[in-house]
Amino acid sequence: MTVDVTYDVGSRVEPAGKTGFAHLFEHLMFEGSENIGKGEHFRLVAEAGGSMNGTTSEDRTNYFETLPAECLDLGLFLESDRMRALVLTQEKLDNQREAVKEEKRMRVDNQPYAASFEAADDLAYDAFPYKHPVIGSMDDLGAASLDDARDFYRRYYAPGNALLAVVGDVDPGDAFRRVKIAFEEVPARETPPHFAFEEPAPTGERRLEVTDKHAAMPALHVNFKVKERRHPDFFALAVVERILGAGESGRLWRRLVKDESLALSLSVSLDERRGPSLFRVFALARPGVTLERLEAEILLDLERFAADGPTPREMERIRRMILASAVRATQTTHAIAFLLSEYGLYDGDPGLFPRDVEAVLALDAATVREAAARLLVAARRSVVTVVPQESREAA
Amino acid sequence: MSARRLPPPPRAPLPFSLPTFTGTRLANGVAVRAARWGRRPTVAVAVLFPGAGSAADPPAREGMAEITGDTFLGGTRRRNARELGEALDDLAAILEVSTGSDSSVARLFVLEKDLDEGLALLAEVLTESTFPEDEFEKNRRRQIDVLAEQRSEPDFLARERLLDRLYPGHPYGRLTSTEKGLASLSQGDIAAFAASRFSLANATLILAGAADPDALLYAAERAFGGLPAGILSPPAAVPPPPAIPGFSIHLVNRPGSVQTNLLFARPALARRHPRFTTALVANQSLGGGASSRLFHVLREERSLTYGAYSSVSARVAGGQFGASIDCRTEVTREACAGLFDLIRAYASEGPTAEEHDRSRKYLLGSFPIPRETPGGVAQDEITRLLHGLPEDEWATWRDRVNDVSREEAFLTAQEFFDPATGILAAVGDAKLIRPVLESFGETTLWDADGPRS
Repeated sequence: MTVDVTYDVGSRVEPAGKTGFAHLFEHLMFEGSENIGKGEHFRLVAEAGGSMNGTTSEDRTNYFETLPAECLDLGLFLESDRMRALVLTQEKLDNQREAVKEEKRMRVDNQPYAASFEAADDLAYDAFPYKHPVIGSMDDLGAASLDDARDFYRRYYAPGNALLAVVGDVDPGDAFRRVKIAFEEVPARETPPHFAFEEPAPTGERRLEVTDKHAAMPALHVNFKVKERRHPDFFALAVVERILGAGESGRLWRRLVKDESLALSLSVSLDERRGPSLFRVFALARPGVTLERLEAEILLDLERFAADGPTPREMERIRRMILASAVRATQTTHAIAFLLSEYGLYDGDPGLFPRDVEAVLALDAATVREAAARLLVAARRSVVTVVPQESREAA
Repeated sequence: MSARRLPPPPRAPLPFSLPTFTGTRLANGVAVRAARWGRRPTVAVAVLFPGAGSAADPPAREGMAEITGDTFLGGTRRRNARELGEALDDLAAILEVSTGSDSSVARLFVLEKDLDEGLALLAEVLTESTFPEDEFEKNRRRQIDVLAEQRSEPDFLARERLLDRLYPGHPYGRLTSTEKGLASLSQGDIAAFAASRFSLANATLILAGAADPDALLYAAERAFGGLPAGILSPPAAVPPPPAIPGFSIHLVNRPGSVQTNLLFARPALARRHPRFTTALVANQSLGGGASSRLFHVLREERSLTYGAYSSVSARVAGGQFGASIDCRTEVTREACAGLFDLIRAYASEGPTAEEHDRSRKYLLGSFPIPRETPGGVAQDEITRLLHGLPEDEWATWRDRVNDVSREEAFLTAQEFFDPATGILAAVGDAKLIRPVLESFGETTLWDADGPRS
């Protein structure tokens, strides 16, 4: 059984100078509340035989516990207590600030290519909400104050700004009754105004070269700024994404990685954002293959696709893959809770997932081709080339 | 001020029963196990090949098992690599062959309605692969480049060096293939390796899904029952790992690192050891999760790391206890001292009553979580078969965890967790951390180029 509370706050709300705060605050939510001491949240979930965590994205922050079904009340208690009466102290803030800085070092600063993904977002977007990374900057993390934390909690952690999902071996009527008991004492608070921002229309190709001190191989990001999740164009690009990159037969992957050995690895992905999203191709070049060549080959396949569109067999294949993915994505209570929460919070209808699957399955080849031809174009493109520092120094 | 409200107690536990696997042998002798599990119309299929892991690589030919597994999708008598990939994707099936140290496993995930076609493709891949020369060569060259890329990752460097020193000269000492080993292999070598080690006669076919187990067994019979089972060649016994003389540190220089990655391990218990379950309970209190001692002290109290953990892991011929922490370079001394002080204290005192109680409860209560999917229970069956565990291993597992006393956990930690013996692999900027590490023990400096042997 999974209890999930998703708050309508992500890194997109952070202004300049406060980057990384939404994620830092997620850490503080595990540090104790009126009835829960520091470290006790972890201990209580462990004693119940559960797992728990939280995640922060650009668009939302969620908290979840997967527990034996008889421990539903514990999950609800933990979530309602920290929603109602989180206890923030300077000591907790300083402690978690260091934990987050270590997380940034571990995931970004000490890894090959990770910083180039941040550079790629910075290049692709103009408006600040999606331009900056969720993890934030060391300077901003260092400057975060206790007043910032209290203000953030007051603004964004109101019950009206959250959605609770309970998934598992529970009786819905009983679960609603228990939810009411647990949450009715959380006082209503003012909810933040609807967040919206304007991302200027793309105006032309952008390029950037970054040096990576950890990378062993040159790499390439070819990104296209596209529509938000659930837009008809987004659904069409979800099909393009799979035809180019999914499974054993994705066109780009099959040709460049497997058949012609031009790329060591290649991924095609479509960010699922509430605002403008990115259609991404990321590839590592094989030794002896220039990034110019790799980019030209990627663009060649995109142009071919835009001209000819998918084959009937590809369309049928992708429909089956989407259906199978939907089955695999709904095998655990945790995964179902995620889906319910995001649809519920973003769209006001937790049950939209099957309808979205149907919408993608209903697309025809002409629509998919047209979307690729219109959206995967130079004007929307941003290209980041990643050059290993060693090779630069040797040059 | 109102009194502190206590967390609500759990209600009566709901029953959780694992499925029983039904076993049979097909007409050609191939062993099959099937179980009904899961609520979604999907089937997890696994074919376990004991003895087809990297421990079976001939000396100086590291990578034989791995590249053989990788090349199964290179083509069959009926289809080339591209056609094979398209056939799998037409079914929306996922087929992968993964290689461990003691075994390889071919896994197929397929929707229940496509099970027959999926199993037919799996059977074709496992019995008709031709390992074409050009596909083998491409995979070999690619793997050599992958190794170069992996050596830019601190975690890989730490694990590679740790195993190399923990199991010197032993098959378990290799994390992956080596450039030299790969260069020594030919297409004929891997075809021969596949014929002997990936033969169906050695394998067990495992199926789990929402369908009737009999239907799963019949599907297996239809796809595999008429095939030649191949050569029966039981896996060669892996020799016991060598003893480790004392404690030593192996520093992999990674200039420009902003963190030090510390990875410790020492020999511990094989999976069949009667106290393996006790070791799991003991480990949970020390470093199994966010409520454990390492995480609580080193992250939550001392702000030295994002996470610090310990683990017990087992292979067929041995096992190890390990612990890890990543920290900013500047606090390497504090993190290293903190990690080992906590392990030593735990090995000499054992868990508190509260810790021990919480660990047992965690392991008991969380037991269903990884077993929520058909793939999860199929993995249980793989583990059971690979390590020769009894039929009721998982049915009785929670009772055994529940029966572990604090004294038993302490004695097991005392015997198997003491860091006076073991290897510490460190990855970081040597010019900054070498003097620090030398204060903890004899430190050998390595570069990132991989094993020398």
